Amino acid sequence: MDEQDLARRASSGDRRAFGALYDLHVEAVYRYAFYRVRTDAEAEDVTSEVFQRALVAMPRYEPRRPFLAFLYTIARNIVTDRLRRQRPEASFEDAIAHPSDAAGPEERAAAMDDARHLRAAIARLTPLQQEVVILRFLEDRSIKEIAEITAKPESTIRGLQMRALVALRELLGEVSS
Amino acid sequence: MSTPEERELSEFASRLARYRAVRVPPEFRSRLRASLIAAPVVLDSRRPSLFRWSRSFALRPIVASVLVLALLAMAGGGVAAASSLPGDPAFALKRAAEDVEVALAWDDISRLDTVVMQSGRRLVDLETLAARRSSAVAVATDEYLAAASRFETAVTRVAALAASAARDAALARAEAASADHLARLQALATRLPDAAQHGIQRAIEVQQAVHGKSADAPGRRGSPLAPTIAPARPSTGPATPSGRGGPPSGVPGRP
Repeated sequence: MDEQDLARRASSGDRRAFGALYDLHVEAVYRYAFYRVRTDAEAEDVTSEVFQRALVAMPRYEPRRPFLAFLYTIARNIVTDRLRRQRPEASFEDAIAHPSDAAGPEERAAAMDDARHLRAAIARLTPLQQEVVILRFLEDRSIKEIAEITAKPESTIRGLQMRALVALRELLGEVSS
Repeated sequence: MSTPEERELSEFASRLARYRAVRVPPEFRSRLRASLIAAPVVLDSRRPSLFRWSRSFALRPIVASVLVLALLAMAGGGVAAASSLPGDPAFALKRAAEDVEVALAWDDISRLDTVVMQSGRRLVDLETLAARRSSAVAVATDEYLAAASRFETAVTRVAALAASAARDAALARAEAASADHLARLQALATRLPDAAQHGIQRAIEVQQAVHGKSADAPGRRGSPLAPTIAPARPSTGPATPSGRGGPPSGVPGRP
């Protein structure tokens, strides 16, 4: 059964079909959330809210549209709302300095530390640059898909991705001398 | 032909791919999946409501009352249904009548008030059966969990509305009800049998989420007295149907 069939069945209330769509896309949604919020716990909250909202909104989902694009659209709205409400004094550095939710084997912890370091750098980009970096280079989405998700012209995304990369590389201290 | 700067950027971009290794914590992943599969949700409707015409004539409450009464009367067991508890044969009728109440709510705010009231009834049912040490406690726990999930869905929808006095008042009522539920659930958890622990811990988690959502809604200040409830027993996973009486009402598959 393809994604469109699953989406059609989920739209008519088939919870198992929705579960299958969840299995297909939860990792991508979580990664997007992970790199756009301050903490791992917030990433879980956003992921949870994305799928809850998607479940409620399924009857309004247009099956010809990729389901992941639908989820990303919900996710970016949730993240935008959260960033608007967030207290300015809570910095990303604070979140990294107190990784209360970091746990597990050493390798995984090291990889997660790297990811949190990248997250802190991404946070210093503009919101649109953040989205382009995450969707284009971490999620491997096409320019066309990103343009659709962000409701921006493809030319804007194309130009933005280079500026975002340059900025991110500087933030990570990877500029060649 | 690309410049050295472009090549460097391209290499940098390809190095970013290693950060795709971030994975959803497995426990969170399975817990969220289970709650999505089990939680009853009122789906947004693409089609106009059958009762939309009645809005302009302020007839909804009347229509709702008539339908509820008709439903109870047709079954010839209105009184029995109204006083029934989870596990009783007439309880399905009571739940059906409650679903009609929710379906005929005016808007998201009145729907929230309705499900708050209904979840309060399920908590009373659960407390009653727990006091009687009834074997139907597990069923009552599942029913409460289903009601709490409807509560959470309704709060999510109301919290997403534009800030207004009516919305904030409804969220304040929900927040107060949720705090009350959390305290009573915590007390119940120490008395319930193991078979009901999955459900009760999940119910506490759902109510904590409800409390957070109602307090943190955009444009609304949260309660300074938000409860911090520690689980009475460690949660060992998502709620599962008790096995008695099938899945809670509102869950697909429930007769």
